[in-house]
Amino acid sequence: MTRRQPHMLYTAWSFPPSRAGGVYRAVATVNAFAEAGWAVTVLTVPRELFITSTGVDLALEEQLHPGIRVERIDPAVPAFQNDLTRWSRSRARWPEYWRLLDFARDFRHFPEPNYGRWRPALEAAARRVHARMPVDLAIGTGNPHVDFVSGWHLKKVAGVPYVLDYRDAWQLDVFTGKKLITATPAVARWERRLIAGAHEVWFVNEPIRRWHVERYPEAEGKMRVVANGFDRYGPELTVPVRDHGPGTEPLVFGYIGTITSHVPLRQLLKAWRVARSTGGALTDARLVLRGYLGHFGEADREAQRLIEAAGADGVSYEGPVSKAEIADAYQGFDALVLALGTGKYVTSGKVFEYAATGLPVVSVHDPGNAASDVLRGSPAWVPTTSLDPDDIADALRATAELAVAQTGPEREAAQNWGAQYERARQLAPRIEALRAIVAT
Amino acid sequence: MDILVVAPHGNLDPSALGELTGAARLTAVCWDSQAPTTTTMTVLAVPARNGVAARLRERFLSSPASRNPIARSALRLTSFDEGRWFWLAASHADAVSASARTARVIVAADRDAVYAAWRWAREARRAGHDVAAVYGYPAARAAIAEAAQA
Repeated sequence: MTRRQPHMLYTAWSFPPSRAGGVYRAVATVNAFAEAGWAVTVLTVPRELFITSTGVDLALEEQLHPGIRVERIDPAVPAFQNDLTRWSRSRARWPEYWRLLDFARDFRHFPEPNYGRWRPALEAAARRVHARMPVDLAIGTGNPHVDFVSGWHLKKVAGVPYVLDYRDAWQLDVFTGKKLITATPAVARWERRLIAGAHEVWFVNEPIRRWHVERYPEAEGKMRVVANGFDRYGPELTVPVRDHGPGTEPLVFGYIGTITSHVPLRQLLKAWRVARSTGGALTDARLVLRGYLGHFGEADREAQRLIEAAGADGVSYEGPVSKAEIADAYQGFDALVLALGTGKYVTSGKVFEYAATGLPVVSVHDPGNAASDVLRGSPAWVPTTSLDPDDIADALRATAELAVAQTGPEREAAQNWGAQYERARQLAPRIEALRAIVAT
Repeated sequence: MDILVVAPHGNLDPSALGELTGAARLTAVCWDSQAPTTTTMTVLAVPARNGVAARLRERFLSSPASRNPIARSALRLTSFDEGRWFWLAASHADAVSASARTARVIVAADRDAVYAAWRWAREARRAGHDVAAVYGYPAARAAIAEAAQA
């Protein structure tokens, strides 16, 4: 008798065509399980929700393994309803108060504003999927953390083991290191309950794992770091060395990523002006910024203003870039700027992609960030010693010199070093371990 | 197709609206003091309001009390709320009202644009005019594409 294919139920609000940062981990996870021979069913939200709210990367849908079954469950969340003709007068006039009152519809089901109301539909969908084809393992990826309830529910009704995959944290503000204002007693109760029942709990870096171990020491044995990594969508991310001799094009520094209020853009642009004005390898150099301005589809006026004002310094904003075309974007750069918000729990996803290119990377973030742990040991890494513009300028100058001097073999060495962060290498050990529990 | 972008603080990002056909006419409405200089669209500048109410509001906003989150939240309940304040000023500008009447798509670029966009959409619909009104650029992109196909 042949054993049936193991079946994994994956729950992710952020799923293609969403262009949110967390979506790449979701795509990589389901693809890795499907490629390892699992049947995979995904519970997510309707496509239209992303099209009309946060924006989409349509090419990302094409990266999904063809065997993956996607079920889209309408969460009926007004926060993502942007058709003003369907808004009441009170919502248009007092949006903050209207939203506060509306949160009651979430908290009745799950302590997470905007998302909690998804719980009943998710639980029903999980039962439906399990009835159609028995689920052997459930994984939920948060945030939102309501994504965790389908696994928890299936364990309760059918004994299915589940994994919690934290991309950040539920109660911890990864930027400040303090507890979030949304970490209410109800959140604490739910988190304890979810962690207690989980088979494994995944975190993206050791500092975030450690924070949780201190709060849930009894669960330490099942808490794992499953780091982010870079994904291969189409062409290789590696960038060959370019000739920087006399008469060649000036250096191009690149930044790829969402430009939020956490990114130290003001300091970066000030330092760029200082460093560029001192000449050397940065003479006539350009700084190209790619990515969305803000998370939620509203243009960030402050970021726009800063970038426009820096136009005379060779700074330009060239819009977002699809993940499927990201390798081409890297080809146009001579060095990369890793500008991140401050926080020892902050890693970001792009750090791995940056490492894979082999290009010199200048870190423009607090030296204590978890991203420093990722890049430590890279032969092409130049960290700033602080977020003081003069220190950043020094780092930019050093990076420019490295970009000019880096030889082909040195670039290749950096690429080989970065290859350790391929996403599949992070997931493979966990898939193997989880396959073993399903087989027993 | 006339597209009206309501952006009190000048949060304009025409590239986020997607590929616009030659028939698309883009107009933005912003506070006079925050209207950006751009050649890609017509910008209608709304002058600041004058009078006793304006002076009272200005006095509050420049006082230490305005930094108190509770006080700022309370302000939102009154007509001094930035969204309603902008609507009151913009609705008195004839060029803006005329533009709102002919718009096929009205876009609220940020929170403070919502009330004006909602009011103009409601008035247009009551007058029998088919208008889409959305909040944010991704929704605008979808609404413009849909309107172009209709």
